Amino acid sequence: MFTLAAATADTPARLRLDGDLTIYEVRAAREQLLALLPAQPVPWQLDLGGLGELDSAGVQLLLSLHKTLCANGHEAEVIALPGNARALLELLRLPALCPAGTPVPCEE
Amino acid sequence: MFDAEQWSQLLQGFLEEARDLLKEAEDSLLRLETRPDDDAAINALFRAVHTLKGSAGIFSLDPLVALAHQLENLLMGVRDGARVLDAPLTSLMLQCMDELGVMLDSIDPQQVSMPAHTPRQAALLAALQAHQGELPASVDNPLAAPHGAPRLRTWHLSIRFASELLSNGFDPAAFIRYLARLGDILSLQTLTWAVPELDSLDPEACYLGFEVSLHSDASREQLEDVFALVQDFCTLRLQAQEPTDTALPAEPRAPAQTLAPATATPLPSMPAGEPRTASSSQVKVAAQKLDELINLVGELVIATAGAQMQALRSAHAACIESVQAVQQHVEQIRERALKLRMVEVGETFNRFHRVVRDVSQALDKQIALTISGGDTELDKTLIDRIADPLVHLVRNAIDHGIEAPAERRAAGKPEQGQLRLNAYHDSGMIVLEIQDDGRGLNTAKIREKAIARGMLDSDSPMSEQDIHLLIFEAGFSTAEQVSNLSGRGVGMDVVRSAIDQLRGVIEIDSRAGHGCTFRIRLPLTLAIIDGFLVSVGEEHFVIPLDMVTECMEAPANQAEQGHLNLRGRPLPCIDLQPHFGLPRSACVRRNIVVVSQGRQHAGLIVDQLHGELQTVIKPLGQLFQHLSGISGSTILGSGQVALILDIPSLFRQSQQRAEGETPHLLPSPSGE
Amino acid sequence: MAKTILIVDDSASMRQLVKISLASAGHQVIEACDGRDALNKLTGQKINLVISDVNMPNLDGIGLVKALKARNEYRFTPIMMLTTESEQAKKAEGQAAGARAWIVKPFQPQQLLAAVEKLIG
Repeated sequence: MFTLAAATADTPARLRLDGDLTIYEVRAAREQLLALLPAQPVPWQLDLGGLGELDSAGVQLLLSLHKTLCANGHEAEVIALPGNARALLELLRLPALCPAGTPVPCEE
Repeated sequence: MFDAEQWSQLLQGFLEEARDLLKEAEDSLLRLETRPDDDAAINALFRAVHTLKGSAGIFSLDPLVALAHQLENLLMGVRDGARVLDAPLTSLMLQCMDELGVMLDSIDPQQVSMPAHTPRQAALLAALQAHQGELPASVDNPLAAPHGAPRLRTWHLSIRFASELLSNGFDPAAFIRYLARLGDILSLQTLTWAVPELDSLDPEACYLGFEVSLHSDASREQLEDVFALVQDFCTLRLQAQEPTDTALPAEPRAPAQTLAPATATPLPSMPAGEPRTASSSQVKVAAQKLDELINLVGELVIATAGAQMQALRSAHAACIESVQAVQQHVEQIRERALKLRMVEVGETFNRFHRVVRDVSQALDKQIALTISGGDTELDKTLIDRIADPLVHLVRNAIDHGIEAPAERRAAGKPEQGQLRLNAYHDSGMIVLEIQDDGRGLNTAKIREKAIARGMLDSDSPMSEQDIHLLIFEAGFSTAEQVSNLSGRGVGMDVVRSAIDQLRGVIEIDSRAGHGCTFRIRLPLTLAIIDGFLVSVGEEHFVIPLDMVTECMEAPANQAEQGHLNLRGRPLPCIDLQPHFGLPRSACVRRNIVVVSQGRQHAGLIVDQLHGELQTVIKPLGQLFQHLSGISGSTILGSGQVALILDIPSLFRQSQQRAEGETPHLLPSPSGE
Repeated sequence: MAKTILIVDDSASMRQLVKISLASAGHQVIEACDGRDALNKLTGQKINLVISDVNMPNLDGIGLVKALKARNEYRFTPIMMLTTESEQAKKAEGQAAGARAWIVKPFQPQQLLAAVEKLIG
């Protein structure tokens, strides 16, 4: 589901998600993410272009991922987001997980 | 319950919100004028006036409540299809909104009071009531309102879920979607603080909660019913936040009573605009606080540069590394801090609907305004300072650019003129365009006039474009008769100097008979400058980098004549050393920095070139404010002060001298 | 957004009513005439919601709920039960098994749609 392109000198690490992210997938997805997270703080891009179905459980996992990256000093940025996922994130007023916005402050 | 200071803060918040609401109402009203069937606009208009009335009631601002109430009653008729929003009614409503704006301005936030009714308000109220009287059934009477009128109110829902919610197959988003069908979600906050980091996350447990403000006519039962399915997994707190009955006259309320619920919840929040522009939770911050922050960040950048220099000097590896880490963060902070000031230009552009409407009506012209690029962002200060010049240019385009309908018909153009406002980013600058399809600038007339005013020699060869730019010179006005709109004694030179002050450039593209485009290029922000550092003797100067075209070694003697032969063309030169009255330095090999602005070029003679730097602009202290040719200062990493050169004003000075003294742009060597 | 919904009821007319209501809201409907038929028709495809009668031959509604909860790919699928007043006693049993929403027959199509939207809208 998640594939990782490592950071190079001038591109950030890019994590791409393909397929659905719903209550059915989140458990496996979390395991996979934990294995992929880098130790060194680097800028991150989360490419959601291949995201299929997204539900609240998936949103919650993305929030947790974002929080984890921020807490470890990574810069996390979401690039590409299919329309249905965007609609959900906009409904829930979660611009932090939407691309093309201003960089999201890591608060809380 | 509240002390005076809290009251005053609450009121301040209300005033800001109220101005936004008024603007929204005005925008919607103007939109309705062109698209009467725009339901979203009617609803937005109604909601804005309604919310304004409701909030004003909290502060017992009775005259405001009274006017908003009458306005609301009329709007209700419009919304329900019982009344047509015709031109006279629109004009009346616009007047009312102007008056509401005046009332807001008259409120003293310290005293929480406002002056009583004025005759003008009384006249407006009477006019509104006269309109109201035409309705067969009075909407003041709730019983007569269409279809038993369910009560619209704002509900506040606090929703918390049990952790087993998700694993039981429920998706909280589904409930939110369902709520959205029952009314307008005015605000929504997804509570994410409980979501843990990945390593302690149970991905199938629910950590989310919601705070929702819903404007709806749904009853408490209906709302509770939404969550009935998940009652085992959910705690719901439901509060009618603003129980205003839209159909009843608003009683002036005792503040203590109405504010009781407001202790638990913030003031009625702004209705979300278009649903698409998902209004995430926003915080309003006084612009001054942002300025303070950015100023401090500027100090931080400078201090960091100093620290870095010390670290490098110490050659202590660990120290250098730490300073570099600090510097990276400071850099990020600086970028983000500057972004905080960025706002979309759309709001400013939208003001022009009103300007265009008023001005074109007054001149009896038909004009359609198109706006594009409204989502382009630029610095708030820039927007504020460019707004007036823009108004001037827009008025000018309507007044002088776009022809009267008859003239347009005769020229084979559609009677309705087109005016276009556009914004976009172009190579690090923001570009604002004001484009009309009018008659274009009359080059011959401008030339004639410039010669008559002694601004131009009758035989001087000048390109059409250069001639056009003459309209920005002081004392130039092409209008044959000064109309009371664009010719209020303020010339286009004011526009130009405003733009100069913002380190901007203005260009004109005009085609006779086809129209004219004014193009303003501005830096993205005023707080930071990409500069080129030079020095004269001990003094450092920063030249805005985008004005630097080339650097070269100064040929001996030649440049001191005041001009230089640059590839066969004369280049006027300004020696900064005498210009600023600096002591003659021992520097033998001097350099020339060629700067240009628009189509003007000049060479600045300096001692040494130090290269590019990005730096924070600090305003000039009182002491230096009289210094012309300097627009600000900055502090270098070494702690030294560098002055930022104001190239446009240097150009002007050099030109004035050229006109006044010598034929070939010789700067006076005696300096200022 | 269109959802895939499985309707399980031994009454063809009840299935028809549910199917028309749901199809009018743009949903995909799969029909099954009892619990066993339902389990046979579920071959791993994604189902957004199961609407099931309680009293059915072969495998009843409660049995279906239990069977679904035991299958990994359907363990989170929300299940809505259609009951009659006389079956209230079954409700506790169904809840214990994992059914979460209940609609009492006879119901208006609007009621059903509203419940579906709340669950999976």
